[in-house]
Amino acid sequence: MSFNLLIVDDSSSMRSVVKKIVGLSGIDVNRLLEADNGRRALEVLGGDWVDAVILDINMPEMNGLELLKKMGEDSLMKSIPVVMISTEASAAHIKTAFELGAKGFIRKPFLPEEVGKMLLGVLGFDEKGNYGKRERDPDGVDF
Amino acid sequence: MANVKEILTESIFEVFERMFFIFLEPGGRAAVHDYEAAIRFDGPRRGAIRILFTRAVARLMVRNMLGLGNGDVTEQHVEDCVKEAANMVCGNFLVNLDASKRFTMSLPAFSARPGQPAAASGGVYAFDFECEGGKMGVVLTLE
Repeated sequence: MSFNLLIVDDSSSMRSVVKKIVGLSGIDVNRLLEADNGRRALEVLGGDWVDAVILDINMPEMNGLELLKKMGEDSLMKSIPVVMISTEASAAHIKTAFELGAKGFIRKPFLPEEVGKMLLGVLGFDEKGNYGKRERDPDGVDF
Repeated sequence: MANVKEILTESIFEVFERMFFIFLEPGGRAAVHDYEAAIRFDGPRRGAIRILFTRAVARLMVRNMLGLGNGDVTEQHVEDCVKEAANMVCGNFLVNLDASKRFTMSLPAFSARPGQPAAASGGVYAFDFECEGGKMGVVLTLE
């Protein structure tokens, strides 16, 4: 099974690093999509099938928390798992992100293995890399 | 405010070691800095962090973060990397200062050929580091 992933970060360097980590994680990637702010990410989400979003907070035009809120208001987008990767990692930021629907939060600077492990988890892999063994989100959409 | 100095130094080391694979040591101030990234923060404390880089350090950051050869590094790479470094240092500093408080951060601003940073004084903390032939300075201003 292959996945479409969307990386949303205004730093092209950070997007490159995350792409490398995804490539090394063992995840079978079909398409790796990118956006440099929340507004552009919404455009991508409206036009492409996305299995998971990797999302920064501090971005121009529409930040990550604003995008999460928009996604939560959309009946299709709200089922897409989102992993936050942000330097803005106060308890209040993390609480807000989870309240808005994020499934994971990784603080920058991060260790590469943290990102791969969390992505595998939100995509439904267990610790041994078996797909579909992890309990799915009851609010998520299963086909 | 020794604690602030220690927290900022640890925050800088953590970002540079994890994300840029650069091990900084305290050093003398560079005669000229080639690039600067600056970021403001607001919340329980207000202030700004300026990070100044010599060309050697900035290019080393890009090479290490993106796995590029020296000849492949562009000015766009440098701008993106130093802005992201300021973003991560500031965020890391604020979380390490007080993770229970919500701070907001501006987007980082970039400039080439910045002026010399202010010397340490009341509310201004200045640090100088060096690594592998390059130097960088960090100035924290707390209101």
